[in-house]
Amino acid sequence: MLDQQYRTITGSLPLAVPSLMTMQGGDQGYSTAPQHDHAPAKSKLLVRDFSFFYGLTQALFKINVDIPEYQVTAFIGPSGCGKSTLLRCMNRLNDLIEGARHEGDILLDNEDIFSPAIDITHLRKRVGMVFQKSNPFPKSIYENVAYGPRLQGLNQRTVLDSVIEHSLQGAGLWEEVKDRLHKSALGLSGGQQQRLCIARALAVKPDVLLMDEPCSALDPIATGRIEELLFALKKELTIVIVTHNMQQAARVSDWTAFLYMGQLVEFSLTKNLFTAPAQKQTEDYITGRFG
Amino acid sequence: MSTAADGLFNRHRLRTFTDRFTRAIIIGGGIAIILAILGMCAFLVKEVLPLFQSPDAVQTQPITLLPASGATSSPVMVGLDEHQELAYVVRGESLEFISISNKSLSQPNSARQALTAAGSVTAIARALGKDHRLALGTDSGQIVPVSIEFVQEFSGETRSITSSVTTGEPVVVDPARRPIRSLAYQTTESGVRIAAVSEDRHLWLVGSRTVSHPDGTTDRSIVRTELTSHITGQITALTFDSRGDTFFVGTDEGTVRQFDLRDPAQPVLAGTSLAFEKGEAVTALAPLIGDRALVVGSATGQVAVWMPMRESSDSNVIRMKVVHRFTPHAGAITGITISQRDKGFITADITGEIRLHHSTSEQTLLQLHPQQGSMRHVYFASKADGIIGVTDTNRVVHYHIQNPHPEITWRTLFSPVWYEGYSQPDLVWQSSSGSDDFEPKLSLTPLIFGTLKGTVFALLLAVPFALLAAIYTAMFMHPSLRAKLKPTIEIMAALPTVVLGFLAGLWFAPVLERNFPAIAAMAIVLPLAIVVFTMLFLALSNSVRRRIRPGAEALLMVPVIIGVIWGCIEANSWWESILFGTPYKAWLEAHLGFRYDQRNALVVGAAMGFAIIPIIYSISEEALSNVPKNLIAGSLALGATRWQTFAHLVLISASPGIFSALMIGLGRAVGETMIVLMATGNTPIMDWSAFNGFRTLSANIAVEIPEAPHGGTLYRTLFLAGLLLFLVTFVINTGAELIRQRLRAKYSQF
Repeated sequence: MLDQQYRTITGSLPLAVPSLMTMQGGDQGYSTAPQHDHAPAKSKLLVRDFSFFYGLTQALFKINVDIPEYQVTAFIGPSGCGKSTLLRCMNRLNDLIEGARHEGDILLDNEDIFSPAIDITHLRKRVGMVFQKSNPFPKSIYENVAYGPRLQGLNQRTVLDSVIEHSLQGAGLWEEVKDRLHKSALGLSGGQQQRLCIARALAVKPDVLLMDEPCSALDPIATGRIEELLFALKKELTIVIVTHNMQQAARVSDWTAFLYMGQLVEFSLTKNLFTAPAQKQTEDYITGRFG
Repeated sequence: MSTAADGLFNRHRLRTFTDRFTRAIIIGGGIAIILAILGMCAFLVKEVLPLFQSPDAVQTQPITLLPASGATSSPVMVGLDEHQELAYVVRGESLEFISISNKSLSQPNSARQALTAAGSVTAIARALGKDHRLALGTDSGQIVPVSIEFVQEFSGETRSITSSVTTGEPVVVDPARRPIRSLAYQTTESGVRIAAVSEDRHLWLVGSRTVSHPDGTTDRSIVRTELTSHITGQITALTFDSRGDTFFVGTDEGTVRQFDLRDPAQPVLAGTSLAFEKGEAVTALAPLIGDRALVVGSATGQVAVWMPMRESSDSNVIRMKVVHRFTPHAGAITGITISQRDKGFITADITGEIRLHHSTSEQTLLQLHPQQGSMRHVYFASKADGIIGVTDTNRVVHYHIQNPHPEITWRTLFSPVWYEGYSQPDLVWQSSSGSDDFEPKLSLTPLIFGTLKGTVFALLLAVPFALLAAIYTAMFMHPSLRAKLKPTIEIMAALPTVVLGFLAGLWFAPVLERNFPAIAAMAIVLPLAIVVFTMLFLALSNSVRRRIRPGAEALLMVPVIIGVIWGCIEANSWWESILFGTPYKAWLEAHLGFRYDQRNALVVGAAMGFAIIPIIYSISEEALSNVPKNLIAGSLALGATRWQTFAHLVLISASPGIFSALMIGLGRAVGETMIVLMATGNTPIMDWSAFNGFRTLSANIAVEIPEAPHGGTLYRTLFLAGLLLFLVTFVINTGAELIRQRLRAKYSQF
């Protein structure tokens, strides 16, 4: 029965997507099956007995997850379950929060990201992030994408130009904006803005891309384009995506983690999690009994 | 059913009413504010406009004098009482009066009397001044002094003017009894001065001295000197100055000779100048009120004002120099009469035209063409509000003049003006002085300069402090500390500026004067100490640093800053010897050429800076902390440091707010009054030196308006200063708002 449901979910793509796909050319194809181009998957990020506290409130309880390299890992779960918190710990963006502290480790390529030896700006360069609400800077499209490289001291115009073209192509935005690179980024549509944020994150050439509900504010067509993008992107980097939308998790991810009340309930291959969940709670959640 | 519908209906009506009512109040309020501002503007403009109105002349119906008994070639002179009700005409030895009504002149038959029997009158002169003291020169070489006085009599409400004429004893000027051809006459405190040219161009100078003896009796001695040998050519014009100390002679060769008469017994030829380049004959001379300038008219109609100047700054030789020139008349100048009120004068020419000029502002204010024949003599009423003249056809013309602000033009307000007694054109504000003949110097430029200087110094001090504090508070400070600090700084704004000005002028200015070397040293030592302390703090081990709440590190800096300030002030004399070697005032004067005034631009900068810091701080801090958190997170997630995030993103996003903070600070500094009034010394000088004072437009209004007579030139000029301030503030605010809108459209997302 769950298998049936999984097929239904992955089959019910937004209507416009197929036509977009044909525009892009079919060989990169939209496939429902997890791809294993770089199999066997090696773990990129290791989360070990990780707990996190906002002051006195504990948000995460001893989480253990291995994020496989060159794959898409989705975190699902009801609101307030701690999935975004976990994501934001992976680039230490939660450091900014007053009274936040953690226990346990997160290892990026076997290096403890909380170690005092780690340069936090270097960590964030390696672990890029796309936010729930698109947040283009009040600058031109070009300057938005150039922001990261410029911070690293890259100012050579020709190099910058190629980085920007490459990043915008990576985010599937190049064709739409190449004629107005120096216009304000705030003039773009919501979906374009979000893809610009992806391009901006790609411009610093990260290993990992964290996406915090990147499509929650977008219409189905824009959502479809971003999902499509993920398949192309995961060839070059590891993607962790937080989503509310289970269909989306089922469509785009290779691995899925289900979090509930700050605990990791289940973590397995997406196909397995959606067809044969090991936990009753998972089954209840994905079949819509709560959440 | 129906009740429910009514209820709904009523509620709807109430809501609509409330809606409309509120709307009306808000619209009404807005319109009222705009109207109030427009009204203020209109009032200011109305008070200012008369300054620039051209003067008005209303002609009275001219009359022809009754046929005279003597020869038609006898000399003529006219005069007027100060109320312009009674005029007199002297023709030869007869004096006649003319009444002036609103519209016309009339000559009663009886009003003619003989002034002298000493002989037939061949020349007439009038002494400078408001009184009508005349001298008649006769064909027997004598001078007869005549004094005409006007007496006001009141019968009930109506005023009538009567005259009384006193004729003095004749004085013999030419011992050979040759007829007098021309004449100058001046009465002074110590006696009279007479200069006369008798037949065959003999020039005589007669002075009388009254010597008071200790027993109360007085002696009058008369000294006569002949100056003929000093003169070449025909003498065409003669005049004394109003004190009788200088005597000017103009000739048909175009020269003007100046004699120093301070000792009447020994006149000294002080200088000879060529009046006009082409050597035209000088036909009229008159010293302007104050005796510092001489108006010269020529046979070709040229009119110029001369002033005595040193030949060079280190020479004692004084030479007359042309300072102001006026549009030439069409024919020879026949008469010049000066105003008793200001630096104005009237000139009349042979074609019968009369012009009214103002010397300092170099304007010809009026050109009158009575068309009654060649003008023989003109008189300018003592209140400068009337002109009377007599022509060669015995016609008497009279004008009422409306000319309240002759000295104001755009040029005198804003460009350098050559005032009497100055060696070059200058920008001066000096509105009043003790003496009557003082000329107000109303240049707004030094005040505009002062306003700018005050603003620049205040912003120089306030902007760095306020902006850096805002950046630190918004970006780096611990939130709990920020919550306390922000209201504290905002309370600074509540301090009345009169208190600030008082403290600045009476407490801070002397403190700064005493401790200037220490405070100069602080400018270097304090930042150094802060940097050194920060480096020491960073060198501390992490475990020590972690005990201090992040964002509260700044508190550790407070004792350091206080310590450095205290240390510098304690070591003041040491700093003085280290930095300057000598007393610092002497050093400043010797090395930089600055004179140290106690109340100076630094004091004002500090006090006004203190007044505008809270505004700039508060608005820019608000702008900085309103930059959306998700933008900052986006930047940090790209690997930016906090400083990079600030410099590349936050500052740009907050730029509209920071810009308006600066502009509001600027507007406040421009209009600030009490601080500059109390702490600048109010000296209207133009000098960028930080060590002397200045006077701003606003302080100037506050200082001078109590002393400005309503409707006077100063009063209106002060209103003009107010209008200027109003416009400057308006332009700054409008410009700032436009730029802010553009910045916001460009950089603001939400």
